[in-house]
This record gives sequence, structure tokens and C-alpha cells, in this order.
Amino acid sequence: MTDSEVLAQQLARVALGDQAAFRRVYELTSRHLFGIALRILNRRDAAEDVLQDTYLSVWHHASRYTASTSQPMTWLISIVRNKALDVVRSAAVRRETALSKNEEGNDEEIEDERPDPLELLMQASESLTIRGCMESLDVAQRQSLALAYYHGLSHTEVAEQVQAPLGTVKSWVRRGLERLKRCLESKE
Amino acid sequence: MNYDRPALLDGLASAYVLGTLQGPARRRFERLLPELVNARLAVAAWESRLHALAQSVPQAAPSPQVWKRIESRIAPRLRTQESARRAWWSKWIQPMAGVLTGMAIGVLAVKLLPNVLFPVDQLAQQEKALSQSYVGLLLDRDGKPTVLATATRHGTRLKLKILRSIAVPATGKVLALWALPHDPAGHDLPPLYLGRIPAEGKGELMLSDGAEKLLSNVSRLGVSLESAESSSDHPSTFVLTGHCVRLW
Repeated sequence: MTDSEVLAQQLARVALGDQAAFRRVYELTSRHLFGIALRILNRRDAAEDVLQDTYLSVWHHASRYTASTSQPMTWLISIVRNKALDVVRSAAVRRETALSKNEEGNDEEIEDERPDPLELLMQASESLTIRGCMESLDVAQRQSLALAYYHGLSHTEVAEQVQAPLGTVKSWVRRGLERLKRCLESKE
Repeated sequence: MNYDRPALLDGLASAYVLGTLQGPARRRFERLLPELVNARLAVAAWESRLHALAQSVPQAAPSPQVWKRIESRIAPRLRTQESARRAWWSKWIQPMAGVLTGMAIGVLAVKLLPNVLFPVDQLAQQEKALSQSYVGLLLDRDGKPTVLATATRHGTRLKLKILRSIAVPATGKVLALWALPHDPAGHDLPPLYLGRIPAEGKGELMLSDGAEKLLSNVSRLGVSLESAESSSDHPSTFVLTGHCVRLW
């Protein structure tokens, strides 16, 4: 059985209220999901809250997975990303992530120690069917997609980070996605 | 917005999965998902395309506390199921014994020490509050009393007191109160929507029928989190549940 089949089987048991299967799902997936939440939120406490919330959703709604056609990991990643995006969009957390008070009580930028999202994007595409498709995107499109996907940035935040006009960034993201889709479909 | 145009729908689905669809537009799209099969398919296709990107994210170990907290949130439910098997009445009588004892002490205190406990002008109000004949006490998942619901026997108002403020995780979500009736044989009947309740403070719901008619076959109440615009046909997961009894 593949990892994915094992996970699907365990989720089916979770849907029946099997606590041991639930523990197994946690063991198999929590490090990956926590990595994803941490990358978006850049704070351990907030990422742990999101992780807890994610698994409580899994416990209560595992039957929804059995009714879907997705890969189990895709389903789990969707849950953790949606929850992390909801949290990061709430202004309070966003502010605390970007700023902290220094000793004089003034706001101060916190060093962002997360790896370069563009590098993650290229690493992911090396091992995947989307190899080649990523190369069909230009660097600006790739960079915008990577910042939005891995760090959960909004269009406005991507624009600030790459110092480009908002409208330009929006079209980079849109065209990047369209090109990625066309390229993947041509490979199917 | 016209959600029937496939290109538009696909664009929204991609922005939703990527996370760049935000604010009210994101909430609106999320609310539509259960109804629009094409939107769900587009989202699923984008999830399988884009979430492949997540595999290069370095894994990280959460603190062991996270699993303990998760376990403690699902364990009370398991204990409840076990005690239900042991004896149906023990599960019922324990919380009620607490409520009844509390109310008896309250009544005695009011009768014996009225002027000490309450200035005379407040006393009338207090006695009025005690003459409720349907009382529901809802507990959160950790078993902490959170909402007290009371109604007079033939009244049409259900009064609510929020004992501990209830966390509403996302904007666009509301708290809905449901009555969980059963038939004479004890089998569950479909939940009955009573109305929205506040997350803190006090509230009041108008009952469509008198309390006696509506609540006489209701032994439990539940509070669920619902989307602000979702229909009130059936509850999602309950965040609070508790017993509802007729006292006098």
C-alpha cells in the first residue's frame, strides 16, 4: 500500500470515531502540516493553534474526506492552509507577525528567517510533474506565486515585497496560474 | 457576480486555493461552495495542482502539548459515551442534581434572607427570574457551564444568559440555538431551530409556540456555529450542548 492509501484508510477509520487511527493520522502528517502553518504564520504559538484546530476539524469531519475524490494529503493541506490564511488575515496577528515592540517601546521589524519561497517553489517543481511547467513561467510570475503560496501573502503584500505596482502583481499571479494550468493540462 | 461563467469560476477557484482571494469575496465564495458543484470541482482541481508545491516545505515538529490539547478536546466525548452505556439515568441525573441543588439553595436563600441578599426592590425581579419552568444549561466541550436558557411554562420568550463568553472563530459565523426533541419512545426527532444567540451578555428569543408546546418533548439543547447566511434546516457541529428540564 502507498503512503496515500494508508492515510486514506486511517481517515476512513477516523470517520467511524476510531481514536487510534486518529493518533496515527496525526503522527503521519502533523510535522508536514505544522511546517506549512509555520511558514504562513511565522509564529509557533499561532501555528500550533491552527494545527490543533485543523486536527479537531479532521476528527469531526473525516467523513467529508471519504466522500471526496482528493488525495488525503491534498485534503489535509487544504484544511490547514485555509485555517492559517484566515488567521493571518486577521489584522492583529498580521501586525504582531511583522512588528514587535523594542525596548524603547517602538515598533520594530522582526527578522524573517523563513527560507526563500522562490527556492521552495523550485525545489518542489524538481520532484514533480510540474517540472518544466514552472520553467514556462517568467521569474516575476514565479516569485509572486511563491510568496502568495508559501507565505500566504495578499496581492498588496506581494507588491510591497517585490516593489512592483499592485496591478502588475495581480496580472503576474493571474497569468502565472493560467500558464501553469495550461501546461499541466497539456501533459495529462 | 455571475458564477456560471466557467472562466470566471476557474479564476475565483484558483485565487481561493492560492489564498489571494480575500475578505468578503473569500467568504462569499466559501458560502457558495456547498451549492455549486462546478465551483467545488474547480477548487478540487486547483488544490491538487497547487498543493503539490507544499511538499518542499521543511517539516517541523509541533510541541507535544498540541496533541495533548487535541486529545483532551475529544476525550470528554468518549467518556460521555461510556457513561451513557453504564446507565442512562446516571448521566442525566448528575448534572441535574447540581442544577437543582443550586436552585434549591437559591430559593432558600431568597426566602430566608431576602433583605440581606437583595434590596427589596430587586427582590421582585429575582423571584420573577426564579419562577421559570423550563431551564436548560448548556456546557462547552470541556464541561463548563456556558449558557443558561429559561422560559416560563406558558411563555413565548426564551431568556438566555451567557455565563462564559463563547468564542466565535471566524467573521461571518453566528451562534444558533437548537432544541433536540424526541418522540414518546425516546427516539431523536430532527433538531428544531430556535434562533441566533449572542456570544456574551444576555439575550431573548421569541418562541413561535408557547414554551410548553415547543419544549415539552425536548430533553436537550444545542448551540452550533453557522454561516451567517446559511439556512436553518439542520445544525452543523454543536459547540455547546446540555439538558433541558421542566422544573415546576
